[in-house]
Amino acid sequence: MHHLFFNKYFVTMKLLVAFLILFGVQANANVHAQNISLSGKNLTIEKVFAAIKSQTKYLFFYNYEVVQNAKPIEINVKNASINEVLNVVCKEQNFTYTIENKTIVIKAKEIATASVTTEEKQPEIFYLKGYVYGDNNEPLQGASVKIKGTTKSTVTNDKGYFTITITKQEASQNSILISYIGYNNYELKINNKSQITVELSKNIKELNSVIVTNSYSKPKRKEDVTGSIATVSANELQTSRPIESFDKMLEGLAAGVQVEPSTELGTPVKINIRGQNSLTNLFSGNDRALATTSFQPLFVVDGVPILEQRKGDEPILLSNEQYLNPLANLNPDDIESISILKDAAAASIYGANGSNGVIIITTKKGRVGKTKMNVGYSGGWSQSINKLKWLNGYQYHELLRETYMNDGRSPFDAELLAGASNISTPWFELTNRYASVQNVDFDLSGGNENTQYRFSTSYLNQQAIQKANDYEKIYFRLRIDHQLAKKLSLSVSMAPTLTKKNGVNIYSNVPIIPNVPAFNADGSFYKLSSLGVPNPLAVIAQNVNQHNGGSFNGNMRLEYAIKKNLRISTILGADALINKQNTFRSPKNATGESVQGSAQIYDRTSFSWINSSQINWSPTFQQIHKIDATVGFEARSEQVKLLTGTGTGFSYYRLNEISNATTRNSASSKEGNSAYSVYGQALYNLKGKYNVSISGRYDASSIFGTDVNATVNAAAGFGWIVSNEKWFAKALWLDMFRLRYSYGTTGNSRIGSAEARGIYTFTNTGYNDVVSATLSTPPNPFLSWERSLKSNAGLDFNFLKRFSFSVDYYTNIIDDGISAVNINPTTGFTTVLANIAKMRNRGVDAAISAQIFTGKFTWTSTLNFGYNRNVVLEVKNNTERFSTSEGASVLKAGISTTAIWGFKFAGIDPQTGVETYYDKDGKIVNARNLDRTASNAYYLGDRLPDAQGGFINTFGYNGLTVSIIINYSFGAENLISYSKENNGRNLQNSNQSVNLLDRWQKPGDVATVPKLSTGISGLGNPLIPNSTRYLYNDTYLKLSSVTLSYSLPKNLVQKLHGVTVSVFANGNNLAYWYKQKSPENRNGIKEYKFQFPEAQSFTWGARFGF
Amino acid sequence: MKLTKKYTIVLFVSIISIQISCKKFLEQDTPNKVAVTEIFKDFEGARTTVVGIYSNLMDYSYYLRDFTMYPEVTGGNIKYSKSTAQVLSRSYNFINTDFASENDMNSFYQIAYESLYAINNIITNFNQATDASTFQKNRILADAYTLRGLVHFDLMRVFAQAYNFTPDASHEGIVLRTVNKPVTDPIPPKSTAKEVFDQIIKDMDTAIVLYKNSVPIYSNGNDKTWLSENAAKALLSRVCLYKEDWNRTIGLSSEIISSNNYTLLSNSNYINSWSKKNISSESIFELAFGNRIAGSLGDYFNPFANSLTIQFAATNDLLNVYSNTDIRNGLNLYTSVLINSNPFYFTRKYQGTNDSANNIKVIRLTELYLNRAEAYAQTNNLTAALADLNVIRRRGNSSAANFSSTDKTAILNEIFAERRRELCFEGHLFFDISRTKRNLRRVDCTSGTPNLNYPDSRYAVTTPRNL
Repeated sequence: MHHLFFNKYFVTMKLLVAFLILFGVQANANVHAQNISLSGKNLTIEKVFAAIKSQTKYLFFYNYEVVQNAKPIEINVKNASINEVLNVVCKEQNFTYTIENKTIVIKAKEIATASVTTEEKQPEIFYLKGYVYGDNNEPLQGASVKIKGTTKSTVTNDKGYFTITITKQEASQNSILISYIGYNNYELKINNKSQITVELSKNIKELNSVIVTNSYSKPKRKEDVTGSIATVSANELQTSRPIESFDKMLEGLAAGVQVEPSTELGTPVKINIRGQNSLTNLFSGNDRALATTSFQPLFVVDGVPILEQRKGDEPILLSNEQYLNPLANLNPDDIESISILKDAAAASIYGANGSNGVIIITTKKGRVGKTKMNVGYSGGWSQSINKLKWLNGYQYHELLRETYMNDGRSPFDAELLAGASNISTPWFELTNRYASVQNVDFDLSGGNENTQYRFSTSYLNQQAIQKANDYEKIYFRLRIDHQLAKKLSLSVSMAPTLTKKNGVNIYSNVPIIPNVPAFNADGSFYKLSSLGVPNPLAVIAQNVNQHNGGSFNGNMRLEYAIKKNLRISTILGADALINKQNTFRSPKNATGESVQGSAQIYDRTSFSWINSSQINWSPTFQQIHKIDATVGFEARSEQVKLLTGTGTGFSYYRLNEISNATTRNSASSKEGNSAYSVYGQALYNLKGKYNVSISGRYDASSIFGTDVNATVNAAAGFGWIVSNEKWFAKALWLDMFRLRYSYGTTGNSRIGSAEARGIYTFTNTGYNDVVSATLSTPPNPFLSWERSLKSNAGLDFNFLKRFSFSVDYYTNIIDDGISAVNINPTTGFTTVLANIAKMRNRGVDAAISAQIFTGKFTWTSTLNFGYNRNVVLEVKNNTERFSTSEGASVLKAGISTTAIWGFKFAGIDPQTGVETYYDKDGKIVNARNLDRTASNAYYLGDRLPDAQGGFINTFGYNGLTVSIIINYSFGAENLISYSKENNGRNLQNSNQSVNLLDRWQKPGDVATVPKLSTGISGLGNPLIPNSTRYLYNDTYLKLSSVTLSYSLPKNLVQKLHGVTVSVFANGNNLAYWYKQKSPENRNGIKEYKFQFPEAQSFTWGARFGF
Repeated sequence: MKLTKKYTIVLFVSIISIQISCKKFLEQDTPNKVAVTEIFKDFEGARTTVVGIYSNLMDYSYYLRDFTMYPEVTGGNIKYSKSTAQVLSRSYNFINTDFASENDMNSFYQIAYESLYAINNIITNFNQATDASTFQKNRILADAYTLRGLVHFDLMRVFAQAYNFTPDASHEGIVLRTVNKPVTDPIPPKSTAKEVFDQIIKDMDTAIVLYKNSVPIYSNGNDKTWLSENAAKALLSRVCLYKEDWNRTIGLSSEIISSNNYTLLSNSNYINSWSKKNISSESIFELAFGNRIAGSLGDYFNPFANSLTIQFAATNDLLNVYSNTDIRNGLNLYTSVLINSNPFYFTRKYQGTNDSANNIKVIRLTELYLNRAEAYAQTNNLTAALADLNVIRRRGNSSAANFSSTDKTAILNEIFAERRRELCFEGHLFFDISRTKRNLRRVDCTSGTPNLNYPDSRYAVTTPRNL
């Protein structure tokens, strides 16, 4: 398999090199204009050619028969371009010319092919042809093309192509005007050009633009879409930010899309579209790793789903593998647009995988026109912000001494046990740094009517602020669109990505106590052996945790137009991922000392393929009935293979490959699942006012039991553009007004493979050296699909020609929610996956965009907002379920699935220094007397916010742009780990928060932290992790990004023959404002939110286009 | 490049048909594991499921610790040599509740019912193994029936009052599991003790018949480490003893004793038989450790191997039941160690750890002598009873005089005492106390409840329930 992969890979590389050379040459040819002066009457064609040749060094290539009947030529030009000269020369001749690579090819005139306009050719007439693209680089169909000052006009076809005939005079003097609803008009002096490529810019966001609605059908005009879809364009994504994957970039950019950030590079983030749509896993740390369905939306890149790495049923030896984010294998710079499908009308075509929403990514492609090349570089650095304040050595010593004394030790013993009082080692500063980030990218694109291509590559090198943690990526992507035959088109894209990540774990373990030195007097690492933890500096220097991997994402799309409105197409996609994680715990520090060093390698390969074939029919009847119907069939399969090897006992620490270990062990695993589906969608548009969409999908999957392995999801949507009604007297200020409604179902099948069938697990250590099989999962034929019923009502309107407003009210009911549940052990089993609960997400998404200024100084502003409430409606068998107290979660009717469940802290008893709590009757009781049965606990808050979103402002003046992203979140609660202020428990082994300084010391003290105690022999407070004492309000406002960029103005670009230059500077994660303030010199939500602090970064860069 | 329309359509159609043609497309196997529907399709697969039950018996929650130690800890043979992390301390204190996390027989309960589910799977599906001979299939099935009887019996001993608790055994037993139901089905009510015992005896009788027409199916290990016709009969003799079916007890015990397949160890060989993986000549069924060790009971008894888990020391109550000349007394069969300057005695029946872990002896010939002695005594055949009793008594203590009495109660008491001397740490004491309706008296005991007066609900462990 590996060989195959690399062979493929090499072929791709060769291809890329070939393309680079080929198109690089052509690019040069087009750059230079030539000035020719020539005059005379009755000149022979040969003379003219010779004159041009001598003045330009261009060669002529022609067949004599073509020019033998040439008419005599009259010409009078000065400093004219070669095209101008040749236009005059060939004007009345029966031949024409093309320029290729400094060679002028003369050939006989042909009848024009497949043009849209069929006006008769006449002498004195030029053809102006071109392509018109919209914001998403999608061809604009139906754009109006006019020659200013004349009545000549045409419209573009489905490829955005047009031709128009003009006179010589018009060609030299008039302008062409291109307009399209929702886009700024484009005006250009024709200047004797014969071909142009135009990219229209949207005149206001969200207004009548074309958007990608799913990966099965062509982009649609936004006003005809009945579903709820948020879009993010390449521009809005602001890929110049130093964020390594696009999913993290989405934070705050789309209404109703919440990104839960992670502070570690290259690891997955959780994205909640309209709240969390799967039940919270109540089984943390349990052997059943997969206790609920996936939380993540479905990501589809150019029609190929990208599958997340999930725990399956692999052997225990494989369970410590670290998962990387597969979405980071997509270069954010290659993204053309992102569409986020939120309601059933939009997502039900993805059927059983659409429950959590679907995110469709469309990558950039080449377009007709000159070869364009961009080179960019950016670099910068980052630092940590909102650091947690730990006790320093002196404070620590003092507190530990007091703790021992509280436990009844003598002052002498306590002083002795508390260690050094004159050492304070700043472990955080020693293990962290200012980190650098660098990125180089290059892309090349272009093409002619038949073939368009785009190639891009990029290199990213990003350091984390913690030492020995960094991340490198090399991306490639090649896309070719080719017209194989008149009715047959092919599109191919290939994207290999290489990854290297170093992630030595130095921070998620216990914080090191501060009153020990980092180094011995001789400079060697001080051993923290009595604590049982390694010296993190030794870990940084000696241990290894490296990922080396690659992914290959490729797809091919074939489309055949049987008739004008009838197409068949097929897409074949493959996604391969290989990753090797190498870890080594050195025998020279505590991580590997006891076993003389340990090495472990995890090898992961996953291959998936997808094939969908479909037929599309899109006729128009009597000009008013438009139909667009698609029916297709899809099959997909995924295989994951895992291999691990471990070794311990290295006689010499540098020889740390497993083969040098004295004890070796290995394990492997293979898993697969497959599914096939039939999907369909029909859109009907009446008179441009009424839209109806119906879509559905049948899915059959290997995951579920044989009785229920298939399901059908369907949805319908309605749209009414009220403002297109004749009776709708357009208010002066109201430009567009539309109503939408949709209702339907989607599902969620991502729960791991073969869960519904009873499973035997094998071991050869069970009995008498004979292989034995024990039943690990009972057959569960009743496990069935989670179903989500979504309804959505929306309203869009645009007003005052500069504002657009969109609001959606939705209800999403998740029925038959899957979760692992405890069952009576008399059944033979203790937990089983079951469809146990029904819950609802209900809320409002809204976005308002405004072009506040549109003149020389521009100001665009977008505010998006998502409000969501979750509630569990019903728990089957009326059985409430609780997680461990540290999990602090509950499954209970009437309460959110993301609720925090625990006990209400009532303060510290000033007399005894003991924590007090409200019991189930509301009485204040001593923590020791609190009945901590989970069912007596309270609802304390919700982990997800009530409302969140982003506020994005962009200012422009003369090529100078300032873009500011502000994120906000209201109403979430955050339960931090109690271990950060552990009341003296475990204080001898790990450092704790400075908040511990506010402890109770003597009767009468009004304290926030109880009397310190190591907790031995029943002294001290019981641990209540699910307490409001550790609960913080997570309402915040974040200045997420400020980008300042400057691009050379258009007139200068023209003077530079199309060379574009832009420079930018970006600040990321600049400032936080929290509603709940941290006490002075103490920790609060701001510091506690992330165990390891977030990074703030500053980058700058430049980009050149040729 | 030119493609005809026909050619294109053929291309599309072929792509679509590739998708549809794979009929088995949705049947994915996971090679780490085998689906229930697949594993019985051949002899080897079916056999592994039976071995799976043996390995369940070898679990820490079953014979490897909890189940075996429960009657020792509660009966008064064991005291703890350490104060923290005491295994079965809830049982020691009789404070098991129906909360799974507050019941230290919960894991045993779980694995027992899990085993029953797996056994029923075998009984339902064994016939699918087309490559197995009838003799092989019969052995698979015989093992399954024996195991089903054994597991039900073991559950019964822990979670229900003894058979004779009510005159007609109509009191609550346990939930019988002879047919697998979907896990989502409601749990049936508990059967009566009589119903459970009837089912156990029926299963074991079925097994005994099947064994006669079967061949061994395992090549590894000693024959005695696998169930057999004799093992089934021996276990059934124990069941009949508990059921007070004295005649059958006598009949089955006699069959084994007179079979000459098993011989009593001599006094001098006795101690050696309790070391390493020696298969004892008097064993009828042992649970064996292979070379790939998963654990050992020795960790709890071997003071030198593991100072962290060591805890099951013999009580003075137990040590006091031996005479000075008994080969099984504190000097001979125990290792004494000072822990915090207090002497503790650890039995050498289970002192092997890791590679030399002792096999778990599930049933030995001595027990059959004692079973028969008790049955003879109960049926007033006192001479025969004394003969059997003295065989065991004098094997352990060669210089002892024969016990002699004409008082049935005295004889039964002496049989009870001999059972304790002979079978201690093998999982009998508390069950013997319970089925003979004795009061529990523990002297060398730190439990809050050292004594129980019969009858008491605490003679049965509360059935754990769902969390």
